[in-house]
Amino acid sequence: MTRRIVCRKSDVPANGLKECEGEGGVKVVIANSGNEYFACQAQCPHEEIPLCEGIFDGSVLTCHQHLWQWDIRTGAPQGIAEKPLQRFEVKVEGDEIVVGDALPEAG
Amino acid sequence: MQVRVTAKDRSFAYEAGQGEKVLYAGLRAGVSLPYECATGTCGTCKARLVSGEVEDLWPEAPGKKSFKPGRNEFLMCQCTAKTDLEIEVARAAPAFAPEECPVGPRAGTIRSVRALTHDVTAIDVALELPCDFEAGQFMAVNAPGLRGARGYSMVNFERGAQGLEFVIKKKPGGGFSEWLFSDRAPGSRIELVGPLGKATFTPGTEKNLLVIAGGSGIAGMMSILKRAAAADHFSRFKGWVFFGVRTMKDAFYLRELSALRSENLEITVVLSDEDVPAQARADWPQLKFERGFVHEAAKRAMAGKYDNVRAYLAGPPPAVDAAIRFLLVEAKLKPDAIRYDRFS
Repeated sequence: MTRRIVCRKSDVPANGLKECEGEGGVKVVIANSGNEYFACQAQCPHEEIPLCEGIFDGSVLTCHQHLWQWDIRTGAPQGIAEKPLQRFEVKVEGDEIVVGDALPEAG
Repeated sequence: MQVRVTAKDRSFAYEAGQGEKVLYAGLRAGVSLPYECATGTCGTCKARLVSGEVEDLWPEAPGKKSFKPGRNEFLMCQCTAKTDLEIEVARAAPAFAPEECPVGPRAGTIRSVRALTHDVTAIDVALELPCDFEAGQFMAVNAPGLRGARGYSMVNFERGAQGLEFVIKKKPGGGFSEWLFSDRAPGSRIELVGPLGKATFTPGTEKNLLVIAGGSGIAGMMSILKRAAAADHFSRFKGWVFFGVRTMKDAFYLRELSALRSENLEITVVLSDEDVPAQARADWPQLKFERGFVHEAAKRAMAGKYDNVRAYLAGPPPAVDAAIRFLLVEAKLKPDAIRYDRFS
């Protein structure tokens, strides 16, 4: 099991996004939704646009380039999106956000 | 030269002429290859070269920024085939639908150049052969002696158009716009490829229309509004136009917009850099005026009016992005209700 502190809670804006480096230099995006944090792949599976520049309302993440959307909780594609989002395990330990293994694809 | 393509959905082949861009040849053959700007900036038309040789006419194209070394990728809109090619495209590339306007190379002569403001000009191009396009589409335009094409939306709308009208914003150091503003432009022959773009309006769209345009982005919106008005769209549906410019000195097409205005079509000019002069309201009684950023004015005015709305966006990328943001997050529009082409 991989495990890496990627940032502090205060680094992620409320209901916002922050790009961080996970295990092995893999880039991830941390999303905040209230007291919860989620981690997903940093680039859009469509055109490799950085998802940290995307639009996040606390539950749906939208890539700003072509408006592909996903449910941040499951990574499931919504609307016109054709591919799911790769998610990672997240734990909050005190003020630190810890990213673990990749999670299975949304069924 | 033959181009054999393996796309996400199917495999096919087409012929590309000497010096013809791989993308344009495919579109001319009726294949919906992926593209957005078609002029080297967005990177959407990237393909992988499996075999053969291409000539890259713009090696520094900004659209290559997502390329990774060793993948043998190229931009179809900037490369010509030097030999037969075998290429891979990661996205689907279906055949054109029967109702889509054919795409091809076109030629025309600049008939007139008319200043709209101190830094915006309308050019009128007489086509050698008539052309069909949809309201909201654009052409990739090439001027003599200048490298690289630029995308410009048509302002006019008609079937079998003999001429095309474009709006050009003068950019300091922009070779293309400076050439167009010079006295060499009138009478010059220019080459175009198109029509291009998917942010179109066709009658039969049973939607209220929201248009948010900044500066010269109003060009394609004029085509959409003219087509919608001609099809009597605004007798059954509502329309809201928000046209953002810096000051009244930068505003244009106010006469045309006043003529389009009707009971169901409301038009607001939004000034970002000055308070609305009293004279503006007196001169243009058909139009509304507001101070602020165009997307913010739209957000204020549209609250609670998003039922059955389709939004068309055009203008500087930051303004388009800001509009997308509030339309998704606050207005809760679905992505397929938001139409725009990224080609500037």
